[in-house]
Amino acid sequence: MSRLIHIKDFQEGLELSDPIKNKFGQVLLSAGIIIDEKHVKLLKTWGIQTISVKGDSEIETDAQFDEKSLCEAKQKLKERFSWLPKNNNEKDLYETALQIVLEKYFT
Amino acid sequence: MDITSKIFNSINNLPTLPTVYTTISEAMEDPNINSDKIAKIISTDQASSFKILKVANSPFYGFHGKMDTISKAILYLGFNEVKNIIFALSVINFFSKDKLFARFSPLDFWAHSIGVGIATRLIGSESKEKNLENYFLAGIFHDIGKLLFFEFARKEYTDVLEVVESKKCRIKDAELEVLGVDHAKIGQLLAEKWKLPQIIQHAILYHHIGTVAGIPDKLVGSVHIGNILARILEMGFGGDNIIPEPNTNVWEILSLSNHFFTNSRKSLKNDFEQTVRLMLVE
Repeated sequence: MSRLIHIKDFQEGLELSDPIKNKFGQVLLSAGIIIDEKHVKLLKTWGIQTISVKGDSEIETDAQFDEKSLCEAKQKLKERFSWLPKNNNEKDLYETALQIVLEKYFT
Repeated sequence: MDITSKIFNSINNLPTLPTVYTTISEAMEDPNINSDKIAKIISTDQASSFKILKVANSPFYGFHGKMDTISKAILYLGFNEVKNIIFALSVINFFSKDKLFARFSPLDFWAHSIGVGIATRLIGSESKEKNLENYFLAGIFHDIGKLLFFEFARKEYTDVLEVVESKKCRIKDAELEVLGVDHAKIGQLLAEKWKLPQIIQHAILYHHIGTVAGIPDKLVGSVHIGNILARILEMGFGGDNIIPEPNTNVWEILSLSNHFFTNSRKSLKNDFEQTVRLMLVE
């Protein structure tokens, strides 16, 4: 599994899951490279904003919205989702719905 | 004549379903039939066998392109599931795809149905159900009653959609208000007429409630939650935007893990997009 991250969210030790290529298809950084600060600098000079890294932790990618967006998203969701989750499965449904709204309106 | 009798008469006058499906259903009655003979019958219709293989190879079944012949599809998925795919494809072709209403098109309808089909099967497999036959079909057909309203109560259904818009209510409640009957009941009548298995009739009739006369059932529960999940993930459109409250009694029988929806939503959406493309567009 891989996930997309913004380079501002980069952390030491992340591994590229796909090669980074320029518009001519030439490989700039190959898959499997462990990204460090030096690479991030390069990426910035190339104007690359998002990269695909290994790992399937969606929870990490799901936590990147600020309080204000979160609040507005919850408000928006209320129009469609009017009941209170009563157990973990229902909370999971609510979290999923909230992520969809966040991704749709706040990214 | 009330709407139910009007539609019921229309159901009785519906032409029979397309040939491949009827031929293999008849062939199945023969006690000496084997899967090679069935495969041969299906393969006579090249266009449909090509499409059947595409659906059989679609990601939610998890066989990833291993099925290059109908015989293999029967081997991997089982005869009934191949028959279900044929049935689903026949029904999709059977009803018109013309845009009848500004707010609700048959393509939205089918996309929602396919979304629920895939979600239902995924929930069934997560609930450790061994026999997943019928899960996809039950999901695809859960709302089939709406299609009958599209076809046979077109004028009245415009009013239903207006009630949904003005009251921001669920479409089933608007149907009850305007027509006196909802799509779950009408869909079950059609399923009965088409002699679909009783479990699928239950899934259609009880998909809003989630249990069969109060008794939890894995397939009905999976369709019930699959419908809610498809709405959350905005897979197609079911006629209103509301995310209904689940019946709390379904969770125990499904025993889904705590982060099942969060963890599977992305792959589910990908599977959905691929399957919609190959069932509705290509």
